Amino acid sequence: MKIFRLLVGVLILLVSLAAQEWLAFFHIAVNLVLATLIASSFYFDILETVLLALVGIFLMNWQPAPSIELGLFIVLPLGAWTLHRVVRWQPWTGAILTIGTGIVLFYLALAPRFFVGNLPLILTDLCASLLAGSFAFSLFTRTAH
Amino acid sequence: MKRYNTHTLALCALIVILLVLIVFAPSYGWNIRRFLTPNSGPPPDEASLAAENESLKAEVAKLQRIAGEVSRKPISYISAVVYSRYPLNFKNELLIDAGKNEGVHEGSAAVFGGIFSGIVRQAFADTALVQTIFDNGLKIPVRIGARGYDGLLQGGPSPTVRSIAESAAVAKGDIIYTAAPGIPYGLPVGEVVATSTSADGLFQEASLSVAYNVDDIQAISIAP
Repeated sequence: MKIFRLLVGVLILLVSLAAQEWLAFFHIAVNLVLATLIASSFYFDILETVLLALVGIFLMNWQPAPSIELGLFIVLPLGAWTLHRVVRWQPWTGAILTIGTGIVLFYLALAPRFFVGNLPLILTDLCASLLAGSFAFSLFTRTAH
Repeated sequence: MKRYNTHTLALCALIVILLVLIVFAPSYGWNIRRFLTPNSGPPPDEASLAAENESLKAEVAKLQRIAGEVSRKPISYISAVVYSRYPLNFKNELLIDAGKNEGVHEGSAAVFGGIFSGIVRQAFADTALVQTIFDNGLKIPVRIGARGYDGLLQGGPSPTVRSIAESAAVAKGDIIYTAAPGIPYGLPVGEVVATSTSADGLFQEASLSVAYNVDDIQAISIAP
């Protein structure tokens, strides 16, 4: 059953990546993979969260060298995982807050100046990521039962 | 308890396998992502014609400006396939399948369809990262038109040429071509579509049209 849940997690990650690539093709840059990883951290244990984050990094990596961008793909889901264990909030509220905060932190950590100059782009990403993250979260909720 | 341990061990093994793949065989990940990426197919004929037109204009401008002063030695390009693209929206970079072993080095010019498309930012053993003209970080000196007015190409989603002298008679349709050290002289970059005055009022700025779509780039040539 745990393996089935994990496979579903990987499948949702692949769907998020495909959606992200299609949107990028139409010049809409979004971070659906990161949103899905943060949403998944609410349903998986720490090893499973690390595994899914590494799958995300493996799929998103674009160069044969380490990068801060992909480092955040493991740091933010693990941060969300830890936060979820410390703060006992209502699951949906927690998921939406964590995904939104994760995306904003991602931009702030990587390019704070980009954040100032490209607010519409970031708001688009935020909305799309919240939608994708909520969708992933609801799928994880169903597979958990 | 035993089942839990088996699950944990399996997860640890998978994590190790993934780490090995990420570090030593990232190309599998690039291939999966490329498989999931929509393919735009070959560029339309109009784009090829526009690129050819810009190449010819740049050649004419170069000849008018510096006839007889520049070596006409042909450039032997290194052909490379695009492996992957930067997946986020902070940069515009391509990873190509030619690196130091093939003679590619940092600062080499990347050319697509005869048009200057970017600069090699980082060269690895068998791959290299190309920073395209659509990346905010790219800045190179260029010249404009038959009179060869100087300017600075500033990359970005809409590339512009800045620091053009206020007195320069830059007009719509003028060709913009490379004039940077380490890059072949006179590679076309694009055409001027509009000019404006800079915010400080001291210079002119030109927005340019580019004869290709960066998403169409599947293969690229590198000038060593």
